[in-house]
Amino acid sequence: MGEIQHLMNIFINAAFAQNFVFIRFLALCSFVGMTTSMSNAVGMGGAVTFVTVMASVISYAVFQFILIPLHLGYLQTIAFILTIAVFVQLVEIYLKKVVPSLYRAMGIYLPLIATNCMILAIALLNVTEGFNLLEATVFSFGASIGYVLALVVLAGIRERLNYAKIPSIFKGYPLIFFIAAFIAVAFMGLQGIAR
Amino acid sequence: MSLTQIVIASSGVMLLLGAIFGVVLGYFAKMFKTQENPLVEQISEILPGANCGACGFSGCRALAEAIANGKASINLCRVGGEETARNIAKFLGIEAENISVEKYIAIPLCQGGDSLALKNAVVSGIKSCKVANNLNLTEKVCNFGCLGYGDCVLVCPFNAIRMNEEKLPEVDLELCTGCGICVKECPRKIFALFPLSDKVLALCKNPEKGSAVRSACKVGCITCYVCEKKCPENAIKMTNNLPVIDIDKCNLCGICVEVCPTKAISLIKALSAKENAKK
Repeated sequence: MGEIQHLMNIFINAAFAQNFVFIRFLALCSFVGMTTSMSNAVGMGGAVTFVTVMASVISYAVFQFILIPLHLGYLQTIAFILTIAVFVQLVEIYLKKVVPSLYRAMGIYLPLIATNCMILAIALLNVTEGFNLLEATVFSFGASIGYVLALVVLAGIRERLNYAKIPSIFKGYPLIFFIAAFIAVAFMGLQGIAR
Repeated sequence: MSLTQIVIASSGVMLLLGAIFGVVLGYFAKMFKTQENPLVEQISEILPGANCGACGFSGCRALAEAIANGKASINLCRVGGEETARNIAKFLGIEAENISVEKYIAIPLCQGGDSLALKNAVVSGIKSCKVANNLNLTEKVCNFGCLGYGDCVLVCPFNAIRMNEEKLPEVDLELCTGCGICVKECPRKIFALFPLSDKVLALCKNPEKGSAVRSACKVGCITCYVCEKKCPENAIKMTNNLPVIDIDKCNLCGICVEVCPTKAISLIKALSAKENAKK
């Protein structure tokens, strides 16, 4: 198997077969919270993609070049969270300056990217799966593309649901979790596409 | 490694990492510094914070920004009225002897309540004017009058609207600030904003011919032209089969109110009612 094929395999595995939202059930908070409109979902997806890729590369470097040589592997969780928090802050400062409308629309969910379990999970998985730097980058990028896909799919459905007549017991979150469950079942069918 | 060494090494590494990241963040924050006018924060504290949008801006913060940048005048806030305008003027050091904020109120222009408007259907299911209007699931024969499900009650941020026993909206003049949200939300456009004063208004929105209106509602305008003929000031003109009253000419004599055969014109004592309420 060629190198490119191997990387594609990792990418598709992270984005579809092991989709972080639908298969691993991570990052559900922002998945439900930021999908009220398509523009919010895309903005959130962009912010999370940036934070995930940058934070996983930096935390990979921190782990390999600082923690391992000093035999401090057990510090990985706290060091990774520190890295993620820094990148969330960077995104926040950037958005506040450049896209203030999106900054206001995202509200509390923007600083909450720091506690998005998907990003920490990717950083930790990069280490436990024994990826090299390139593989780790591809893996984290694929995972965030899978996250953006999940957000965009749900946001599209929710925008249409605004015009639907929904029985009152399903209104709001119950229906959203129903939908998420159905999409998750559909994603189960992608299990075999990457190995 | 002994325990002490581990503790020193761990805290040293974390301190180092924190320091590096801190420097990077600080540098970045300086690069993308947001110039925020300190006035904006203080002005938005003076504003009532209702975020109703009556001023024409998207919310109180947007208005505060516009005022701070000199793009909006200080008397735009209808909710806060003259008191807020005076506070802002005081804060900004502007002479503010005679600031006047134009007061508006929303008035529903339909009298076709449950007992007066004729019905030709029974509607069950969700009670929402918007849904009823979009799907044409209406009880009343009149296609222009109030639907009576009270979407306006839900959207009013000041709780100034309630549905009376006739299932018609009633505006509490003391609470209404003239923000105009009900005007926008009503799918039948029943509400209209008027400057706060006593006035004569035609309370019907049905532009159909007399016979059609008569078969739909007992208090609709049947286009009989009596008001136009009897008005001593010639202030009334029939346009689109509905009387339009020229407020400049109208002297509130009340003749049209008396002669209207269906009582579709009425004298609204908004200003006196508001003043009475204050007393």
